Amino acid sequence: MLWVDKYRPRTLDKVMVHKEEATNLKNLIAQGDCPHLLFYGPSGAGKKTLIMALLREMFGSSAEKVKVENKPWKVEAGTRKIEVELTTVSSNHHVELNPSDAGFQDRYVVQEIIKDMAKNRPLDVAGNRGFKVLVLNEVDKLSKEAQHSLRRTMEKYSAACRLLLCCNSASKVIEAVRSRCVNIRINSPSRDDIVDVLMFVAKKENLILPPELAGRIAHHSNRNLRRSILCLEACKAKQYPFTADQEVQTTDWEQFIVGLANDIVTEQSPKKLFQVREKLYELLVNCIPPEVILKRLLDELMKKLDSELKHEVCHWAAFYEHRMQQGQKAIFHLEAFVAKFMSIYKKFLINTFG
Amino acid sequence: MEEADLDELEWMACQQFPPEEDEDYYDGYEEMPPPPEHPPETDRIDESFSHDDSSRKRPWYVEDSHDRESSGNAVAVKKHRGLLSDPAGTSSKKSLFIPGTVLNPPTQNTVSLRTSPATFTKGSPIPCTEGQPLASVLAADPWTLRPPPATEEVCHMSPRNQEEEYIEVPEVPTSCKLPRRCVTDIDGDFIPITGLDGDRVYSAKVEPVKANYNLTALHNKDLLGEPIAKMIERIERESFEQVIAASDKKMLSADTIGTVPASEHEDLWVDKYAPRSFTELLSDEKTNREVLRWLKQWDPCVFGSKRYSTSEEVLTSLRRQATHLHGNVNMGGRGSFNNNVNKSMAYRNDTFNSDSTRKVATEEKSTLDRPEEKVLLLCGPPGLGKTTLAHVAARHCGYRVVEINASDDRVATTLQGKILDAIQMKSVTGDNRPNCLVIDEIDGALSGAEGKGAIDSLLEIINADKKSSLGKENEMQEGVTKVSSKKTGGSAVRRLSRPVICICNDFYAPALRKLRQVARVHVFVQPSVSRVVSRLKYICGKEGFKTNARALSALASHTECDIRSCLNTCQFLNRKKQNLKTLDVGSQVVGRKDMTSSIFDIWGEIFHKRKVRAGSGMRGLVEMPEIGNQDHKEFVRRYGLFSNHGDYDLTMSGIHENILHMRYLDPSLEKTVEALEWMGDSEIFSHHIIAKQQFHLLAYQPLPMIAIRGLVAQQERPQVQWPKQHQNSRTEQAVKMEMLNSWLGSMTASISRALSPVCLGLDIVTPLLTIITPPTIRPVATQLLTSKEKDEIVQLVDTMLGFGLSYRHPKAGMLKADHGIDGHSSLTLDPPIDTLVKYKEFTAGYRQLSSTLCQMLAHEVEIERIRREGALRENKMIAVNPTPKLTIDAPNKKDEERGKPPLQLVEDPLQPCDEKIEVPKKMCYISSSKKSVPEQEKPQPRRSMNFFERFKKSTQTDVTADVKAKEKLATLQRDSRPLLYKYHEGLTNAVKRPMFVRDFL
Repeated sequence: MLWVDKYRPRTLDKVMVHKEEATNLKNLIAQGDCPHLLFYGPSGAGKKTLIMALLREMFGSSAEKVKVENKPWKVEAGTRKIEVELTTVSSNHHVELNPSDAGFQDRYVVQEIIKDMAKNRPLDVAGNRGFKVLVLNEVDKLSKEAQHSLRRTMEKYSAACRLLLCCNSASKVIEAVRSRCVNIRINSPSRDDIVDVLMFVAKKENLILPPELAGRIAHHSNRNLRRSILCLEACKAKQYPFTADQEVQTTDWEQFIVGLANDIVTEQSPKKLFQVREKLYELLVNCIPPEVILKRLLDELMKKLDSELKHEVCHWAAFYEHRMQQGQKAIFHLEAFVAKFMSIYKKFLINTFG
Repeated sequence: MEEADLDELEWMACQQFPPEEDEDYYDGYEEMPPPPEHPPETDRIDESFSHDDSSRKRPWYVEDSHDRESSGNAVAVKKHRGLLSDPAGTSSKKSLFIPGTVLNPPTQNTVSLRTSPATFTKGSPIPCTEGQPLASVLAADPWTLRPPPATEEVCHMSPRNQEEEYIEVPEVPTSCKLPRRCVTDIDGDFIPITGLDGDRVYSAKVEPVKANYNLTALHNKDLLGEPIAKMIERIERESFEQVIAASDKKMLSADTIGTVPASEHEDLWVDKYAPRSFTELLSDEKTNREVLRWLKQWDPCVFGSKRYSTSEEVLTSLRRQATHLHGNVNMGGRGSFNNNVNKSMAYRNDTFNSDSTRKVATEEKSTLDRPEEKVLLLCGPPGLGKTTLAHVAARHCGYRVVEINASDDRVATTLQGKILDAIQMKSVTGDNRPNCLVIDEIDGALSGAEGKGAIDSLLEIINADKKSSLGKENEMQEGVTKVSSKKTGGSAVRRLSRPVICICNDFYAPALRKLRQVARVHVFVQPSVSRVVSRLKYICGKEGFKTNARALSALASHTECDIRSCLNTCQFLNRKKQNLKTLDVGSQVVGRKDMTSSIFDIWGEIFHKRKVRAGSGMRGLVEMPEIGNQDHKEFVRRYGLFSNHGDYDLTMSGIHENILHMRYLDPSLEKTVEALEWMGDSEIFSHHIIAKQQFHLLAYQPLPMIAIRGLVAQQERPQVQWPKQHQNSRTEQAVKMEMLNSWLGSMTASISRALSPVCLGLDIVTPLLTIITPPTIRPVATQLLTSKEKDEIVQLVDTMLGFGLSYRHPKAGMLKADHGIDGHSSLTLDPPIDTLVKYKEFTAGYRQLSSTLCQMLAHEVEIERIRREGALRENKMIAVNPTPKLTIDAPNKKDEERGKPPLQLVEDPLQPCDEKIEVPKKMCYISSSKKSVPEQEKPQPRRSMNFFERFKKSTQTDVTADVKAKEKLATLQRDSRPLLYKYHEGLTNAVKRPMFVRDFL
């Protein structure tokens, strides 16, 4: 078991990084009931941890006894029958699922399956909470239609069920859904928080962790707690005892993007652009989301950029990311950004150095 | 090849073209106009006569009464016969018609001949004085001079056969019922006659004519070889030619001429002037000839089948074949036809020069089989005459055409039924020509899912036949009689015994992929403009449609030599009483063909800027009207082109993938940026269209393409590649995503619930790979490890198990082979998450474990997994039933473990250690009976406490599996039952008995 899981706080009391949110949550459910909740925030901030701790708080340790089920659901959509396969993680008290797994058929998942789950009040009400909790992950990836069909479910069956929604970006959740929930923003833990956590883990593992190294790990992990703990463990696997100047391993795709940025800065030509395209394809193939690629690439390029260009490049990165969200073929827009950068950079070079 | 050369010569001669400027010339003969006077098919004679009479009563040329009469029926023909007696220059022109161009129905010929035998003799000696080219060809006519096989494929039956008919028929009184079915009915020499419908009759030869004929045939300088129908036709044409010549002159000088009222119910010109005979075909001669040659290769199979019934028939069919091969076989083989086959062969060998021997031999061999490719695939743009060629060629070779076109139901079963019908059945209407199946438009309607089935069924018939063909051939050679019996049996095997011609427009249609491999393919190319124009001119002349050569050639090039559309346009204008003028061609009056181009054409259009043509010749004239708003015209044209193709997605990815290889001047990448932006626009747009289902917006999709074209088009010819990259990466990504999902599924629930597939790829994989490949583990026997290292291993195994990871051989089936080659080197992670960090020219940060370590880990993981499962089951059992139930699974698990027997042997020293470590855990499981989350217990003190004890036990283990198991059981003292377990690799003589897996651990 990795340290990430091993030292994941199991109760709201033990939470280290989002203490305030944890206390609020605890107060919220103190009366034995809770409203719908929407957790949003970047990956690796602790949303899931909080949700799990919350569930435990509500239902006790039996909420931790989960089983994974992967079963096909048959949904009747008008005249045709649709078969949707969904993976659910469930305990006696709650069900976690990711409705956006159904792709463009997510609407039926929401309309039929979730409604169905929400309708059925748990039978063993005696002694238990009189409601069921549905945890829906990645709500922001749901289509608009699905989100709209969620609205009614949230209202109609609120007696029997609570929805805990979890997503990265609240802006992709429609207003109607957001207004029906208590929105809880889980931001990325600060660097100090991360260092604290790392030190805590090291202490528990009986390791001597130099604070410098912890700081560097926190820095490299981009304020992502999960990544930093994993990184710590990887560092430990690579070399122990730690040294302060030990190499901190970044993820492979990040290293690859660093190389990519170097390519872009060294040469600006259609030929190079073609090579860049191939590399972008490789990244996409390895399931790196295009937004992450663009953001990371921008970061890397910024490091090498003259300050007067930075603003412009940022502008264009935002521009192309926006276009990317509108479209579907991310490669077009990624490439367009690279081309735009090359064009700007080349013009700059020509102007500066003749 | 000699054969081919001969054909070439012959055909060149037949189809020579005049220089275009010589108007007179073309009118005379060169364009090879069809003889519309003669109804084309035998079976239609009666109708065509009446039809002609009714439909063409109206005069065609007001000025000339001759022409009115020549408008096209046999009655008119007779009236004009008188013209034959004047062997003027005009008629000598006519002599240039190639014998065999017209396939006249025998009956009609008979009639005409009977009525005027005199004209025949008179007409026959007309020498070919003026038409030099043909005359010279005839002088060297291969039909007469060359060995028989030379003409095998070309024009085999028409000329001589007809001639014969013309000659014989008048001589024999009608009361004799001149044509006989059996040769035996005729004594003396006879001549076989084959009708268009494949009928064979024989008629006796009568001396006087024969002498006449022989003279002509043997000496061959004489042009009597020309069928009488030709001469009749020639005369008819003479008369209207005069008119045409006159009218043409006028037409050329002024664009107009006196009006000709069009008939009220006229046929489509396309049908009316469709080529009736082989030589009238407008399509590429080489293709024509190849098609014909292919069809002729079926002769042995199709027509040869008759001869096997009796020796008589053998003889006659052979003879008939000879007739096919060289029209004038009768002159040589006449005397020998009463003899048997071999003699006839020999005779022929004697009569013809010696190199025919070889030919005959090969030909005989070929009778046993059919052409190499059983299917002919004609492809090319519409309107070039593919269907016409198929029909004409098939008819020419004596087949009855059975057509299946797009209008028919063409699902697999129907098609199969139809093919089989065509192959095995005969028409009941008395038309007993063999069938030739023409599947038209095979790419269009057959491209769907069911169409694929249809093509498959066709392929099945072809291939089934290939399989059985070997056996068949042997059978065939055994004897004639046997083969005859086989003919009936052959249908059961569904042997493809009739030619099948498939016609398509798009050669690269995906549905045709398989068919392309087995078929003989002929791609049609555009005929030359001059050829089309001359034909058009002829037709227009006949119809009295006023035009001039320039306008026609403009029209032809405008429609890309689509003669069908040219003719339709002309007819249309004719009905509107308009004239075709050059200026019209570019304008709305002449509709542009709504032709879809291939995707490569589209890409070519985008990347390739054609040179601005210097306005020379006709081209310039065509474009003239567009000069005013050239840009607009071009835009509209491109818009039409792109939107006609329709697959914007494909077009765009093609552009995207190729644009960076184009060499356009772009120093600071501005054009590239702009082009990419256009692509992005188009992509966003199409996404929106699909997401919102607003498909009317698709109308705007061609615009980005036009814009990109404006940016990047170059005069250099681009090399456009089919776009694969995007698709490939999409599939790969989908595969990896699937892998991530399944990986997530295989993890322990407590771990996986906090993760999503995306963050697996982003955050987890890299550190995880590092963590599970620690450099500290030494690949040594477990006994030699320190307790700390052992702890590490335990932890590692636990992690791997939690994440559902293990080391596997890439393929289970490869296990043996791997061991054979080099130990166990090829252990990989399963699921293969290491592929997630694979990048080109990039080495991932984690280190590779040695194969020994991998094996060790795999082994440990496996054991741990089994143990946990066992514990889980045990817990359940304890919960359900206190008495330990015998689990059937247990031996299976054991088997699984045994899956790598050599492994186990190698790792044996490790095993006890492993056991030592795990035993307390297991105990722990049992004690904490309902704990289903195994990660929670790791009682370290206990483990260390038991360490030495375990170590001691491990020394007792033996190498062999059974002993070890026994010892283990003994030491564990848990199980009183003796374990009889022996495992020989490859044998299953193990004693099966219920067992707990833990007993083996």
